[in-house]
Amino acid sequence: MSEETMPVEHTEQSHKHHAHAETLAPTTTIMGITLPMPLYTTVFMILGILTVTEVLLAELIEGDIKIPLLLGIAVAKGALVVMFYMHLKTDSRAFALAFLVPLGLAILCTLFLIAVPSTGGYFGA
Amino acid sequence: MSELTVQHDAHTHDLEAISRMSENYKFAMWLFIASETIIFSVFIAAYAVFRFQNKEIVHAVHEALGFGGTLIVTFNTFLLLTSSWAMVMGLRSIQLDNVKGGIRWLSLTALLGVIFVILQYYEYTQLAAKSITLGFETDAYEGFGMHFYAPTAFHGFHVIVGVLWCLDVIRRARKGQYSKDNVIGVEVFGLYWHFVDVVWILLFTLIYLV
Amino acid sequence: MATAAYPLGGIVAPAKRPALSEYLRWSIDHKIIGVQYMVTSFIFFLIAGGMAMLIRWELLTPATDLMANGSSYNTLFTLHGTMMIFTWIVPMFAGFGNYLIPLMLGAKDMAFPWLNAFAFWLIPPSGLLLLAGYFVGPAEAGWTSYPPLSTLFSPDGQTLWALSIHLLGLSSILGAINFIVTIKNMRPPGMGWFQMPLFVWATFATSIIVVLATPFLAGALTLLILDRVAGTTFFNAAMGGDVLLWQNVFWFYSHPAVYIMVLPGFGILSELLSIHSRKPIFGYRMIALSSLAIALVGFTVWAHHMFTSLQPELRIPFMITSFIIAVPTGIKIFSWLGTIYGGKIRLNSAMLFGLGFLSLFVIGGISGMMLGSVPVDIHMHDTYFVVSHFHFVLFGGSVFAIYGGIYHWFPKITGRMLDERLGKIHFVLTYFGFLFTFFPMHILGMQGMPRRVAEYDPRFQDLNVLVGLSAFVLGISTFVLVYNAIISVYRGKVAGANPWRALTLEWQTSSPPPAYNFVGDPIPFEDPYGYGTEAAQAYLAAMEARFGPSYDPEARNKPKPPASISPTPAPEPSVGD
Repeated sequence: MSEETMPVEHTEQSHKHHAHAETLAPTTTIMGITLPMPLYTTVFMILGILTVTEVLLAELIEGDIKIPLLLGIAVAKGALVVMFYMHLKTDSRAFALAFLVPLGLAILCTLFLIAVPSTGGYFGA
Repeated sequence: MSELTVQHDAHTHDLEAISRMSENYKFAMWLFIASETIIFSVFIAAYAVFRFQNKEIVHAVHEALGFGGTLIVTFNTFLLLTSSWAMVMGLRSIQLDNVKGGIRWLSLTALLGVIFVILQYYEYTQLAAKSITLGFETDAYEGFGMHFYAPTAFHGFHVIVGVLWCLDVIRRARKGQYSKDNVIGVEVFGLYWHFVDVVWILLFTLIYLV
Repeated sequence: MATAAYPLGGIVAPAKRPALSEYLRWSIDHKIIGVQYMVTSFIFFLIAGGMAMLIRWELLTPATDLMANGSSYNTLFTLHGTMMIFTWIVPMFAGFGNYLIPLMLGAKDMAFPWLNAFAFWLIPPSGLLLLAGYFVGPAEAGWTSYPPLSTLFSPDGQTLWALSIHLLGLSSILGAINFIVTIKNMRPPGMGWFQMPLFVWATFATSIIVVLATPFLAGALTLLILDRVAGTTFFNAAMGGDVLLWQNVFWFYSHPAVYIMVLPGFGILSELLSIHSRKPIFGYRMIALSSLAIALVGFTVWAHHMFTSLQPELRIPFMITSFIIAVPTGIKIFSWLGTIYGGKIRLNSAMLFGLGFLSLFVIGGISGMMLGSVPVDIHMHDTYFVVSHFHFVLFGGSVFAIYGGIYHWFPKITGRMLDERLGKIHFVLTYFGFLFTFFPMHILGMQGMPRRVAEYDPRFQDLNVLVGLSAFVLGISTFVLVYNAIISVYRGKVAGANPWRALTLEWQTSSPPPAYNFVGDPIPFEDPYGYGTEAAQAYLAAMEARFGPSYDPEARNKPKPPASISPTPAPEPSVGD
């Protein structure tokens, strides 16, 4: 019995360590460039840069592109946190499903409320 | 190899149990986050509908607060982003078997959370001084107040809960409850804390920038 | 086992039941919690049922005579509806889930026992909070709590109502998370997704809906409470708010919630029909997956509750989605008919309630289709036709499933059988009481009698008297069950481990199950509904050898009690798998 379960367990363990290897390494490689800091710090830097970009864009530009652009950057920031800080990229698929299905539902319902004339009427007006 | 196996044998069952419990806890936390996403979406939808119907009011509020107003909130955003980073670095420290370092990072997380709440309170007093209120009749900006305070205060409540939870995690870490192989308590709290961060990322853009 | 006289000798005394005091305090044993859920919600059922009796009493005459005024009538139907939904049906199914899911999965307990207990203990205070409204003026805006009635014109009890629903929602979200994690991660080796009992599938689908839908209500309730206590005006159109925001978000929750209230009933019915027809379930996969389909499509139909208030352009799309959701439900109905067709049906109380469910739910489903079609709905909106429709699905459906489930699993929970004769009396009174209470309401509705009013046109009185008297019969019938349960706990025939000769795992342990449910590892049978095969009989015989003989419900009808179940007719080639 134990001989049979042991190998399975070892693979699970090693698999788990493999999943963590990326987050525990002292350096990060993105697009072939190796940075001298762990993945988490790299993500933090990118988040900071994106935030500054957002604030500057909000102050500087006007026009139709502004809102989608800013929301797009916000979604990108959120996705970075969810994928790397919350480990959704490497963790179980079930977690991703448990998060993305409600997220999609929430977005659809919000869009409905914004769009329908009797409440929002943005697209109907 | 065989010697290693024998040594680990007594431990194997514990490890297996911890691993299984970890999966359970993480999955449960993700499901909880799923339902939180939906709750926040109701508040966000209420704001978004208001925003799309009353562009002028929101513009007027942004004008009235000026760049100085945005700066405070941007600073606040950085506080939360940094606290999220401190959170994962704390987790990483404990995973690398450095519990002391983990406690230091987590303390930074809690501290930044506290400063965030204090600054948000300060921001509310500033807004109240400009007659942005919950009630429609007293609100200088015709309904902006309630649509603004509801989502941000609900988020602030989540930060307060997060800080208390973080202090509890620190207490447990000091008691030696976490180790390289057992970080689930930290990880689950981390999921919550990052989720609160993600909500703020969206609220910041949606309310203060757009 | 040998030639035993009726009642069977040699049945071991039931395993020791937990002491009564165990049920009154904090416990993290899922079996205790399951019973706590069931008994608590049954008490709320009796209270809310009493309210229904008062409503019918008031409606015996066209004038407002029993109540002081219309407002007190409003509070009655508001609390009746709210309590029946949130403190009876939902927690009752949670009770079944709590008791049965770990057993059916061969697990020791739920994934999070402490959370499980916490979720339960939110319920009694929330129910009392609802009733506490009577001290400050109770909620009177109906269970849908539409503003501005619920914001500008209701007494403080409406705030307590909202807080209470908030807590009950939290309780069911925590419970649902627990169910999902338990079902996904704690199945025994050898039990894949498609070897799970269908009740487990139904609870899984239900829990997904709870996690996705209930938070909508929580968000909307928070805004409602703010409107009531903090001076905001989210739902006041005159002051920068929007009435339809509530209606939309409320039905984002409440239409899926309709399936929260009936899917577990579908699950119970699947168990009952297969076990008591001694036949494999017809179309296992279709039943399992249609639960998920219902959960999914259920999120796209909410606006059919708002045909009279939403943009007219949106009526047709929502009519179409409302019709689409009838498809997975129809699949289930036909699968159940296929299951009992040609089976060796035992007409015991559990099965009678199962068949009652089937017949009444079909009527409720069809009247639902009528209401889902726009031209009919515009005519019947807010009439007694609607009242009739949802009582057919919620009482004729969910409550009949609950009754059937009680007769079916009572032996497992208490170790003793419920009295069959009283059970049949209960069924006859309930079934005909129900039919004569709710069927005439269709006619009243089509003739134009509005719901939610204490006074009505005198021409409706004859039917209302019929409805009222039948409702009293229906009310009395409940006490037959209560009496039966109380005497059977002490005097009922000893059940043994598996009186129904069922194949699912909850029967492969003693009744009531021991601490941690199973002694040794439970061995699931390859197909939970594989009745009528040699392998199934061998499995049942082996289990009987392990746990001792059980009460034989069929012994009375047979001149010579056979060794074990008689061989059933060979099943038709199983079409579902």
